[in-house]
Amino acid sequence: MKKFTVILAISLIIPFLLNSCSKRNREKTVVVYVSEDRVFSEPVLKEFEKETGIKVKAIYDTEENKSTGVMNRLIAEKNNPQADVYWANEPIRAEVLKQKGISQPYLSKNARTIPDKFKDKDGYWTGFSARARVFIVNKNSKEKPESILDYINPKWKGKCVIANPLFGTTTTEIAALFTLWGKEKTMDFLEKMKENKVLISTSNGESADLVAQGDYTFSLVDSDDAVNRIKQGKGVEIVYPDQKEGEIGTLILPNAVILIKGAPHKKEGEKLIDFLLSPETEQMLAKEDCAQIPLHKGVNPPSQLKEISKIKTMNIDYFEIAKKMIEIQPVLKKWIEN
Amino acid sequence: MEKKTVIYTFLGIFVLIGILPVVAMLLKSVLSKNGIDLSLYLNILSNKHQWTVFFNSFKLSITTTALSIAFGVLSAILFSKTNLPLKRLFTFIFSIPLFIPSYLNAVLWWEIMGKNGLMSKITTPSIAKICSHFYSGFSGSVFLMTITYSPIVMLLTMAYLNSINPSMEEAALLTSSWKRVLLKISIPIVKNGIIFAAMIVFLLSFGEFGIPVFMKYPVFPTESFTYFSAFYNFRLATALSTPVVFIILLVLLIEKKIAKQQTEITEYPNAKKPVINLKRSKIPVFTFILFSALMFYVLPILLLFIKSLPLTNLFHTLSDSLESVKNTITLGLIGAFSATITGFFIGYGISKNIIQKRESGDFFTLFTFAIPSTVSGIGLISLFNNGLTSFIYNSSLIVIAGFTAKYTLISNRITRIGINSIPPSMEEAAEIEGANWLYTLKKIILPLTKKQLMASFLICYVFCAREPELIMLTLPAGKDTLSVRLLNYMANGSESLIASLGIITLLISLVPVIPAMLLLKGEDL
Repeated sequence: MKKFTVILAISLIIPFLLNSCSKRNREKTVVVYVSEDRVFSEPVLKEFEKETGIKVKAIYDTEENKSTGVMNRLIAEKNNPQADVYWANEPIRAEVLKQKGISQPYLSKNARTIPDKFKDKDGYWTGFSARARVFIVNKNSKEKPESILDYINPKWKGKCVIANPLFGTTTTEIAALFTLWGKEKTMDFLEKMKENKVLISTSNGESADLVAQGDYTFSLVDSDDAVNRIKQGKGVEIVYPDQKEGEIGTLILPNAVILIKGAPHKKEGEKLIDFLLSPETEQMLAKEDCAQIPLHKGVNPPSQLKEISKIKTMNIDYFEIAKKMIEIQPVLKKWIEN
Repeated sequence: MEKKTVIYTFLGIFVLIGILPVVAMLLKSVLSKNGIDLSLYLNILSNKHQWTVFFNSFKLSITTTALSIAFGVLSAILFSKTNLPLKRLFTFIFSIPLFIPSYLNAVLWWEIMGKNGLMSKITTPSIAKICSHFYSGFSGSVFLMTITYSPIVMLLTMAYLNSINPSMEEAALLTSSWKRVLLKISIPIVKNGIIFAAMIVFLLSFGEFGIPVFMKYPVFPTESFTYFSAFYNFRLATALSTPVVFIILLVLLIEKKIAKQQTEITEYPNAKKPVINLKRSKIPVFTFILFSALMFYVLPILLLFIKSLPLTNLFHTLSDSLESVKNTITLGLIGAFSATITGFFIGYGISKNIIQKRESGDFFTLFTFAIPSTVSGIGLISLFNNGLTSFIYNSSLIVIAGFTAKYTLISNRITRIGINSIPPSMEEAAEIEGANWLYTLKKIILPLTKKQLMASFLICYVFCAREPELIMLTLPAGKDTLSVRLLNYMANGSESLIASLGIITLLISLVPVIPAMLLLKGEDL
């Protein structure tokens, strides 16, 4: 029995000692939770490690849980934060964390040249490398959609698809419409979408595939989904919605980086934020399949996409959208269920 | 005294890491600023949509369980009782889907059955259309979940069938046909095992989320997931996961009604087992099994392998993922070991009436198994992420705790069969001779339950190795396992990278099978 007690005691003490040792190395480490796809974010974080010598400990999200696993972890860890930085793939989650008191302000020197509309005025989050919400359109179609209102145009009945608005960037898009049009008009739009037999897919990726396969003519997706299919040689093209005079413009969703309140490695966290907000990082994220649109002037956009200054962007306040998003989720859930 | 101390220590650990975190979450879901608030639960009960999706889940899991039992028991009989050629190889092939994350399996079958998949290239457009239509919604979910979960029924039934006293079957064979012996002797003896396997499959299918979402079939677990992921509302999400309690109670009630109290299974290692001679049916049965193996099990893996080519790509992915491989093996082995010994000691306590409330033990082990990983993961965070226990939360111990809590059920139930088969006189004799309990444990109990321990360990390892959610929520930053890595890269990763990771995950899941076979020296599990 004594042996059993000793073994049990040792098995509890060893991890404790190992943990104590690791605490001594904390100053050389930064912990980051990442919602941006790992395939794109990991090379950037490795570059940071190479440049600064600071070890990056990352947790990446998965497509299966709609990139919300790390958000749940951040919220659950609120009272004893383990992360220093959160790299969100859109700014709404950053706003939600701000509202839940999980982030703290940090005004990076590299954020100065990023347009104001892509960052929180108090410095709770800063946007960089954006995606646009664009139409992916099958090239076999003679006509092209031009506006989000084409979802309710009878001529496109049964020919268009959109990702489940309960999750991800489609929620943001619908929340943006609520802030721009008001509840009545947006609800009318949603009901008419149903009448127009718009298919609800599980994700933007699936929507893009359905259009690329020719099952549907168009879908609103993130620009990286569209660029990815173009690079795969699929017969699709990109259309920026609502670019004409008097139209609402295209929704732009930058990545957002936040410093966690009570971050165990605050200094290293700030260094990582500076790095992520640099033009060099934006250049990295503009290349290859990632295809993100840089927000700094003078950084080349991906060849398939327009420069941010040449897109008529939606005039929205991300804070308002985040607020609206929480408010409209039950409405959207009901809309999906019926 | 010392027997009780050991058993209550393990029971205490299980309560601490398994039950308390979930209870903490449940308490939060019923407590509001004004005290106890059951409005969330009342809203759930009065919501028509919740009932609809609950019924969908129930229908899906019942159908999957029924089909898994049919295929699993049939293949178990073929592979353990007959003279079918290559039956060990077939056992291995038919078990493959269990080693692959279900989400990847869904994507692989999409490549075969989907609109532009393999079927559209090798068959007529009308057949391809039927396939693509079939591989969606309810039918697609049932198809994929049956392929994924029927190996559990097959392997457990085989383990039970191999433990039947051969003399019983031989005696019956003197006057009866094999068909009658199977129906009247063998199957009734292993009934408890089949019921246990059915329970596992039912609970796994009821909690399955990835496959129905892929197939666009609305199920109940999506509700809890939605409130975690879209609303960040932990209280409601937890409340939405509690109907699993009713499912467990129902499962236990059914089990109590149809399962026998005591199994007659005993080990007969040296006895020669009677074999069903398939005679003239041998070639047609072999052809059918070979076709099924190639079509339903080898084809998706072949597809995965082709996508992972060239081999240099596979090796490159392996060298990049060495840390994940190491973590998967280490966490899988330690997690499986921890769940196995915890389940064994709790099972021993229940079998020997040291733990008085057998029903409570069964309920709570089923409860921690069936509760969604997100709920238990967040429960573990809220309980262990503080100054006092941060040495647990900041190390891999937290994942081991999660694995132990979740998979104790497997070992608890399987090892109880072995424990029940040891005549009490053996332990009594050792006690009279002055042996203490730990010595009796080492010399009598563990050797006689070796096979059950090994089977539990292997099943727990497979479950631990393919688990992504719990790991994502609890593993310290900077670490990952292959299942998490695979799901990470499924978002925009190249096809060859995902396929290579799939092949590596499959191979790593097989790691403990080889030493287990060496330990058993060619005996059947």
